[in-house]
Amino acid sequence: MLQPLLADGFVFNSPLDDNIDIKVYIERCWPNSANIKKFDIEKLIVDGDEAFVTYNGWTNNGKLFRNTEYFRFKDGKIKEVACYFGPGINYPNNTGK
Amino acid sequence: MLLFGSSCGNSGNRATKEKMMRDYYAAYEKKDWNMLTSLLADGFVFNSPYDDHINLDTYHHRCWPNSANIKRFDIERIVIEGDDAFVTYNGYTNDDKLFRNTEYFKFQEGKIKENACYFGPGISFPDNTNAPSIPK
Repeated sequence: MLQPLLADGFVFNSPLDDNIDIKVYIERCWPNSANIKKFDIEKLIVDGDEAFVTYNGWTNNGKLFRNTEYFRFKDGKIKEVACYFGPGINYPNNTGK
Repeated sequence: MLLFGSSCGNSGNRATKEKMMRDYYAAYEKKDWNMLTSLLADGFVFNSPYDDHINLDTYHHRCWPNSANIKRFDIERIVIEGDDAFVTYNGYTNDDKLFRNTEYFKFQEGKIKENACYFGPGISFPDNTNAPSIPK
């Protein structure tokens, strides 16, 4: 379901990931899906082939991770995602949330 | 549905909002607190992974001192919809450390009511103490 949304040459960025390709993304990021219960999307702004999404994510044990992600589209598919960390468990100092 | 850009959730025009956000960062570059506060609405709040809905007074004490160590912001992207906007920038400290963030702005009655900073790669994120230097 995820992969058909992605363009050839998809890249992912975050404070921990520097322009990783789909192969590294599957190995490094996709395993996190096992511990994610749900996303509540709070804001979604689309401007041409660019978009920003802010969400509250929740792990299986109820921990919050609130992020803003940038999406770039190319030929109708997602070419790039960049994750910017907000408060919650992504941020190392906030392990208690 | 928005018709010709007018709606109940849209205070001020797009160009004005873009200029206000650029001025927000310019105020940091110029270390001009009065310039910054002139952009802000009453009841301004700031959020980041460190800061949970802090008010202007706390923001002044906790965040504004960072301006002394900021050389410049290169704004890469601005997206505005109604009273909401996102800005992505590369920021550089005086010793040329990178901090790349995306910030959310909420406008109310033509002023900045809220700013929320989301951390990208660079010195904002504690694991990245060896952030790349400024491009020459």
